[in-house]
Amino acid sequence: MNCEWITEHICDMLGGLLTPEEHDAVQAHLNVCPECSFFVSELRQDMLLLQGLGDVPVPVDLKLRIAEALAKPKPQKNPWRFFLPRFAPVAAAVLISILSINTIPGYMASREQLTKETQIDGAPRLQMAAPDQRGADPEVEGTGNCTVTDTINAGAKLGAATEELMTMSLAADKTEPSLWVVSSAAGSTVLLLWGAVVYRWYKKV
Amino acid sequence: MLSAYDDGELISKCKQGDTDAFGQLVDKYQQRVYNITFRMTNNHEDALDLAQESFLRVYRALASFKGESAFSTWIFRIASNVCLDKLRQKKRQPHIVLSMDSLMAGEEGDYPIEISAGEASNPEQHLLQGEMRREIRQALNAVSDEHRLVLVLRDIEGYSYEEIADMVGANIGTIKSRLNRARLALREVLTVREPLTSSARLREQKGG
Repeated sequence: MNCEWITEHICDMLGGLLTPEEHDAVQAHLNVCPECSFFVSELRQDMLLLQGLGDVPVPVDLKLRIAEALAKPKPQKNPWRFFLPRFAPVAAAVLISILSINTIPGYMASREQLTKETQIDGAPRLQMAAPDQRGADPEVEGTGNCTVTDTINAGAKLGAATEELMTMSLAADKTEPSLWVVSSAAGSTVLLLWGAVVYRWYKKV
Repeated sequence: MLSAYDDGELISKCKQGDTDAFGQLVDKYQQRVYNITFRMTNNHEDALDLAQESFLRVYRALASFKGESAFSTWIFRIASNVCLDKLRQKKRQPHIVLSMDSLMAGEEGDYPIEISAGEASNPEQHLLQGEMRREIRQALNAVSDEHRLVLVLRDIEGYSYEEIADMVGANIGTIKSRLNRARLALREVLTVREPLTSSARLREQKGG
């Protein structure tokens, strides 16, 4: 028997639930341990104080209030109260998904188109650079001294740019599954948010 | 007379829509339900609301009461759950600073204080007892809701471990261990207030 045992079994001690052997052992410990003895007497005093608190006067209008509440007609059940929390999140998630699928690819496509235009606009500039590489006058186009070779070279460069654009377009196609990820994530977020709102609402009700 | 009916008969009548029978049940249990709601909230306004809510829930759920446990245990379980729900809800709300008057308000509130012959014999002793009661009530209010509930049910209301286990929905071992921790927590709170409580006890012992 030690102080720790007393602390752990204080409930049984105060409730008179110890075996006679345990009771004797506890008593023997309390006789030699003033700290435990003081601790147990304090707890016993606390219990006596709690028991002494007794009944609290009941307000006279409690029964009246209950009777009035029971007499009130039951509020009409709103069907939306059932359907709204259950189906609105699904509808919202679907709507967000559809909007995401329609708008995000549109945005991506417009970006792609812009890139293509930039590249095509860039093609004549490449053509401008061609004479420079041959050591000729860089202002070829401006002066009108464009040769057949220049035209062929420019055409070849334009073809290469077009090919590059097609490669980029194919690469863009491969990135499309990420749109589904984005839309799914948006839908899931809405579902989670709605779940939180419904949970709080139910707790309030 | 209707009051002569036992709980089973009153419940049967309530299920048939007899609100007078329910009134009899309210009469029978309102004191103990109100004790729980007041001890858990420490103010009359909330205690009244929660007692009302408890009885309304009992009335609405009467159809589902199968008599697997005693009706009294069932009703106190509902009252305990109503209190814990309300206290959890309050904790989520912004903290409201109470006035000192409301903090120091006695449990008698606006009601006349009935002083027993023993208490009234010595005005000083009565004052000290009042002081100690206030201390223990404030300490009770300072422990956690779960601890307060087992202290109220066991030490104030005097229910058995089995009844409390049934009300709280836990096994007896859990209740004993929770009660143990609750008493230690209460003692810890009171230790902080030790000078006042101890001196009051000492004076009371000397006076008694």
